[in-house]
Amino acid sequence: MVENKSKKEYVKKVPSSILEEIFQETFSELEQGDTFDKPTVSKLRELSQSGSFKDKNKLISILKGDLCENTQTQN
Amino acid sequence: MKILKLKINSVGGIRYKLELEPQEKNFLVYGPNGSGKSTIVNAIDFLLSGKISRMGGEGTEGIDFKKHGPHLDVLSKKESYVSALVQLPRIKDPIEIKRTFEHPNELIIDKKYKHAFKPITTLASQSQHILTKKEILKFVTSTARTRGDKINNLLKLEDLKKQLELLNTINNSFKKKLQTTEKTFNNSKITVGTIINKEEPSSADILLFVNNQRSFLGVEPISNLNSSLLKEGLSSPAVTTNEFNIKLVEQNIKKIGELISQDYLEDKLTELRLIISKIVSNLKLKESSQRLQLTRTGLTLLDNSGQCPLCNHIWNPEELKEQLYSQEKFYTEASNDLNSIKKIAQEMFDFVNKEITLLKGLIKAIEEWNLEDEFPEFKEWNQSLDSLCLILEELVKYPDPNLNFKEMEKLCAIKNLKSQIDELSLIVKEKSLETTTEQASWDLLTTLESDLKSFEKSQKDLKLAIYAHRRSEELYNSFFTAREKVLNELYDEITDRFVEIYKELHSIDEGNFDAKLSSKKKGVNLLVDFYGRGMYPPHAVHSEGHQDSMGICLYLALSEKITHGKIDLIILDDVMTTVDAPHRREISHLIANSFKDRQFLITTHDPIWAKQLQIEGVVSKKNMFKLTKWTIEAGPQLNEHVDSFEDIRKFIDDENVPAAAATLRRSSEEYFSSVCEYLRVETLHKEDRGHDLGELLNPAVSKYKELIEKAKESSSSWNKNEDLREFSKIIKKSNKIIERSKVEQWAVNPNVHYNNWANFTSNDFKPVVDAFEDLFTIFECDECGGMIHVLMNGYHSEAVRCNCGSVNWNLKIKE
Repeated sequence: MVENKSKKEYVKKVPSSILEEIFQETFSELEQGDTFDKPTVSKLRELSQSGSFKDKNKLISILKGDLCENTQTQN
Repeated sequence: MKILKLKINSVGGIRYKLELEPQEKNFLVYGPNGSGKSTIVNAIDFLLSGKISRMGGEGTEGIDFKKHGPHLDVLSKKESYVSALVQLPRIKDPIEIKRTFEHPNELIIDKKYKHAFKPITTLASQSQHILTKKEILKFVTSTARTRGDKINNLLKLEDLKKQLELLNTINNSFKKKLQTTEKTFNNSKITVGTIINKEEPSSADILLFVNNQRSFLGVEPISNLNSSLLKEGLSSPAVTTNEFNIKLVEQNIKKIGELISQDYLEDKLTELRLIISKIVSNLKLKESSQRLQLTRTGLTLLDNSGQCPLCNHIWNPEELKEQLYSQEKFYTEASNDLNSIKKIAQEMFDFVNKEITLLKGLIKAIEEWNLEDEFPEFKEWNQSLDSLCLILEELVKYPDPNLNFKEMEKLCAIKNLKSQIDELSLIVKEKSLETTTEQASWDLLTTLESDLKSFEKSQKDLKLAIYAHRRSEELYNSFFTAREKVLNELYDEITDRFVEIYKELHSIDEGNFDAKLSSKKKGVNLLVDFYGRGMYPPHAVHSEGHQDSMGICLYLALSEKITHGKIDLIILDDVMTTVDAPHRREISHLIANSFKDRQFLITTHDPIWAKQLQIEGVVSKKNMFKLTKWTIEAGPQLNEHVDSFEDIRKFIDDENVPAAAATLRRSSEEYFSSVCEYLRVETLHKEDRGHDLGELLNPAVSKYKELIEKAKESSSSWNKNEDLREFSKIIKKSNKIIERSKVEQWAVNPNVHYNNWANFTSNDFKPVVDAFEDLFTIFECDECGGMIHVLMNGYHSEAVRCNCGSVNWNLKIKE
């Protein structure tokens, strides 16, 4: 594989972006599924971009929050 | 980032200002053990990261870099500092950086460059630029977890690990919440079902029941089921509200009588006993699910070699296959048995839970009628069932075959309960006759109103819990899958580069080498090819020397990936001594040719290795710094030149001729081995390339003479008279040197032969050393110190050059 790639290509993907790359991959998979709606995925995206994805409370709130809002709306 | 200048003052073993000027090029720090080489490495580490990583971690308890980092005689920590002039990519001017032990957390740097420097300090905090001897093997040997930690640390994947753990924690908490909510929901459903006398009450059933009661009370039916509407249109004055409901008590008594007459629990206990006795007879079955997984993994790895992938023993291939498949069948059955235990326990749990719900209603009535003394068994039974519930709940989670059957039978057995139920039934019947239909309906609606409210709430909570858990599970799974994908892609890239580097290093013995680096749960798995015989962990079959090579190659591949454009400095601290002699030249080639965009700092205590790095063009003469004569008061003395003959002369001064002879022979063998390769001398081919001096010297000298004669002839053919004169001078001078070394007389004069060197006196041996030192110089460039080498054009020698181009002999004759 490397024989076909230049060294520049090999080193272009800097590791500081590995986590972000995984987040992007995760969110696009969530968008394709039917468990998450787009606004919730957007909220998760915003959370990762603001570097707050380690905030347990915020994550929990997003994971159950939207449903509460929807349920309230339905009611 | 590359270093142009480095200043170290009062750090570790360095007392007064020590200055090195590598000017962005590779540099070598050479010196005996304890001369201060590692202090230079620590100083750079401190300058970039604000800490000294070797003074932290395992085995460094009681060591504090702030306290033990500065020189011991220093009075003020302000005096202890490291500074450097560095060059950053994309920034034109060099940048001055400094850090003192007074404020180790503060990097002193021009404000405008602070932002550009941030990624460098972040990377440095992971110690990603330093490879030490003791760390090499951590990359290849040890467990997947330890290797994973090391690689993860280098790739800065710690955040990733923490993120995954957090998502897992959140998912588990949602799962737990869901289980609790499900339990509450089921209980409230049973309660409602008990009131309306239905096992699985649907909304329609409940609505029908409500409207029946409303009809007895003479009001219109309701169309929507909602706890707040049950008594709509009803007023309380006509009837009174009882604490309990007589109709309900009647129903409960009837149902509980039916339940205990079924002997359900006893039957289930017998079923459990049968399965468990089978499992207990073979304790291995307790771990059947793990063993099943292991056997299945073994089956996926099974080939026709007959080697068992689980125990590595060699079997008859067919027998092995049969054995593994029969084991799989056996453990599948056992695993099914464990699942049956779970299933039966769950069924018993549901049954007991139903009994408890009914029983609680009866106990309430008994208390209301002050009949506790007449019916004491009901409360005892309730306690027994609660205890049984706890045992069953555990059994559902962990199907442990070590069950206390006696205890369970005791909890299931109910003495005198049937007669007690009959007695209570009579009392309830009497009381029922005293109650009007309206009263009974009002009481039922009142009870149902409260229980339906709880049911509605638990239903809503369950819905929320299911959704939240589904989301958290999907988020965790998606993150996990994405992590696997991204990391494995990354590992594939690193593996390819690792294989490429390793093959360059071991082209002779492992030209077909291959490897596989992959994500393994929390660790990193590494398998390497062993001479085409399959993939093995590196420490399973490869020699220690090869493992060291793998460690260096993997580090270089990782380091290239991580630090590119940030820290272009790679520090190899005493690493080269781990490489065996035949591969030193390859690693020198590798550093010199494949990592041209990097700056290496190499430390070594081996003078021959230091010399080799110079002649192979890894470091230039002026970038070789020798540390000597270290004292605690003054630190090391810096000599900006490495003299590999210094040790030999020291042996002669100490009258230790055998040691001097052995060192000269060893270094000469290394040296002339390189000369032969560089000048394209056809030498004997040995797998380990361990030629002795006699096999190398004469061919090397003869080739040199042949080449310079050819260069002279070429100059003559091109009419380059000045070059011609220069070549005549070189030939004259080199002939003198060769003659003095008596190299060409060895075959005929055994008295000057290297086999006899050890028998020489100091005075006899000194001229030999001088002659060899001079002999070395004819193969080196006066400017860069690098070894001259032949440039080929196809099969033809075209020129002789050095690394810097100062030596450039044309070998082509004008036609």
